[in-house]
Amino acid sequence: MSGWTLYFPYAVAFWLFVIGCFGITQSRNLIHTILCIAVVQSSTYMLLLSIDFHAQAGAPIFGSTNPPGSASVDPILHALTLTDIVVGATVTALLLALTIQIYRRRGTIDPQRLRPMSE
Amino acid sequence: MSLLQIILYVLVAVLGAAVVFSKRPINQLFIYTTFGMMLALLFFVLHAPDVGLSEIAVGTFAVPLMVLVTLMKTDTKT
Amino acid sequence: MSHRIRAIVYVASAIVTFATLMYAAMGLPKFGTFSGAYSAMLLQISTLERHVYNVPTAVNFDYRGFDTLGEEFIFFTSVAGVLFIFSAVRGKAEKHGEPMEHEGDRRQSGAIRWFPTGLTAFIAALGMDLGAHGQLTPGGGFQGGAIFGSAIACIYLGVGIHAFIRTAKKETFDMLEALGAFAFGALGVAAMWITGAFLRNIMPLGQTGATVSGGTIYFLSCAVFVEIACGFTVLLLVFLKQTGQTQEGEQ
Repeated sequence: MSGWTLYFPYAVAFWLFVIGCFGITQSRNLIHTILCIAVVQSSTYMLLLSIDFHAQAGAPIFGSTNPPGSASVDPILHALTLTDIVVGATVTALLLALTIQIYRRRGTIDPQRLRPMSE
Repeated sequence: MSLLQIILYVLVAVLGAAVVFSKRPINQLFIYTTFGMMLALLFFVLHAPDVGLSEIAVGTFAVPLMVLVTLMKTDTKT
Repeated sequence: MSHRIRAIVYVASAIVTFATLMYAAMGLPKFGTFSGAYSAMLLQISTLERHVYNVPTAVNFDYRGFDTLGEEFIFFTSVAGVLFIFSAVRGKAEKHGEPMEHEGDRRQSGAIRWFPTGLTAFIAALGMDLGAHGQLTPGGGFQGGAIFGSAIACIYLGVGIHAFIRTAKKETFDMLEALGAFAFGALGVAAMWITGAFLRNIMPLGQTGATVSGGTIYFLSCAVFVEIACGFTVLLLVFLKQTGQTQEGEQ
């Protein structure tokens, strides 16, 4: 195992965060913005699960091949992440619903052309 | 770190950038769906089957379907 | 601020951010070597103490059950928010009666119609299986619910929006979602009533490996399953209903 792989997963997680934020600043379409936010969200899952991984351990689900108490990766971060993925989807749905309403009111979803209080 | 993990990490990094840099929203949506699938595979490889199941259901079906409806409703005809 | 200036400013700050984050990552445990004290303890005791095989489920619905309550109410509130946002428009559309039948409702036939409908049954069964055996195998209320809700939406792919609206009655699913959220809180309060601690495991733990085991974990998982499944169905329903009213809504 060479040295660079020890921090490479974290670099990927941070890369997704930085590139997703770049997309948000450059966005000309609110749907594009929402998908960029989804990429930023997944960077947090990547970071948590990369920290959590252990090379010599199995999944934290016990069975006949790995009896209860055997070495396993951290279950707490899994529990955090799996609830957040499902809940994050509904927050995305809320953003999409807002986008549809903005389009109905203003006829555009380009953030550059959405000036405050201009009809 | 196994070869499979390295490949999946690189794929996720590349697809994440592709989601951001694609210009047409419909292309972006399909790339996002692929990104979600690769992310789910990566979670399975990282010994997190619970998380992978969540990501499959959400990232490859529910969110793309809702984005598709939003795209349909906000067709700017330009 | 023009796009180009914005890009330059952002890239400059992003390089600094990325470098700082990588510097911080040097202080994290190296990839593949982490083992936390809390998780090591949980891995040792959760099967003995709670009679479950799937530790993340035990963490979700027992050891960190209070956090899950918070997550669950974020979910509940977002679904309510989506319904609220769409209700302003739908109120107008519903005066004309139900959304008009899609042309697709009648035109499709044969395999296109029946394959996704058959898939609905299969995926829904998979979702229920995952939701019901969260304490034994990978799965649990959250994943099972998301898969079940998505399965119901497959009816739309096969038969069309009209059939989907008839199958998934919004009021019923809405009520079931609220019931699921209520059941989670009620179980917590009941535990507080009996033992003095919120969300303490009060049910008999049962045989390790049995379908109903883990005490409260099983019932909380089921409550979350009902809430998430119905919440996703309602969410996809109100979104897909939007496709049926292109003509009325835009005028």
